[in-house]
Amino acid sequence: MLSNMETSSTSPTPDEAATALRQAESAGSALAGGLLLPAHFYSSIGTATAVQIGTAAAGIASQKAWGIGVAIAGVLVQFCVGGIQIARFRSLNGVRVRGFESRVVFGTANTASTVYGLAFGGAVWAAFIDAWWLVAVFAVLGGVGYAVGGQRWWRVYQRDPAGNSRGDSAVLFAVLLCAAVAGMLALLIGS
Amino acid sequence: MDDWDSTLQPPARLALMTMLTTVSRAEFVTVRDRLQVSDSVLSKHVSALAAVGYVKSHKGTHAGRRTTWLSLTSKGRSALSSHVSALRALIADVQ
Repeated sequence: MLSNMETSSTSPTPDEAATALRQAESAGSALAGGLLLPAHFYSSIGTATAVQIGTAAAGIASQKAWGIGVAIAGVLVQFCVGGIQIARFRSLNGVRVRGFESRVVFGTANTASTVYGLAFGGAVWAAFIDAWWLVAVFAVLGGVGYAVGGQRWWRVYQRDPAGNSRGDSAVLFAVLLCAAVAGMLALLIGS
Repeated sequence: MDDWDSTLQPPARLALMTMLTTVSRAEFVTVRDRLQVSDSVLSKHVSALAAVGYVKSHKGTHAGRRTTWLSLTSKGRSALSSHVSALRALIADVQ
């Protein structure tokens, strides 16, 4: 129990300093180590990503107006699932971790973003050649890679929570989002 | 110990600040439960840290009820880093 309210202008003894540091580090580690992920977290994020990749590929390859609707519906599914999981995480733990939100839920972790990009490109290519089974394969691979990338980041965070709790800046996130939307629109209406 | 910060001397404040480095923000009750202190004790620590600009608190809602969220400021993060370095130096001097 850490209820000491005392402040003093005298510096602590080395023993007091060591004890205070040990207690503080223990408290920080205990908070981060005790965080729980919502039930079915990775499976829902991975499935939503697979749906988004599949619908975007189908929408882009269709080159028709309905394709835009399908692609947007996929993006909305992913954002809704992500938003719900973030709300569940906060409700479960009473904390907010921006690094978790941006890197795990919205996929800016290195592994997740790389796998997503490759799977997305592959799915779009497969859709243009009407290889729909291949679209499904790329979508599933993208979803699994996205979830695995999130798991990897979570393990890194658990090892060094203070160094990883902060996420990408809101400005960077907005720029990436705008670039993604612009790229998808260009693919939908450009060719 | 030039960077030793008397505001962070109480162990609960150091623990509170360290906890807040591991998350972006935390609910008052979550911090209270983790530190095993009473509402009033935590309120006093938070007020003291907020007065020097180390911690920010703001009201919000969580699961339909009003709550208070706590977060570390950049000034607080910097002060904590200096304070921890000063404590480590103190410990290292006697080893």
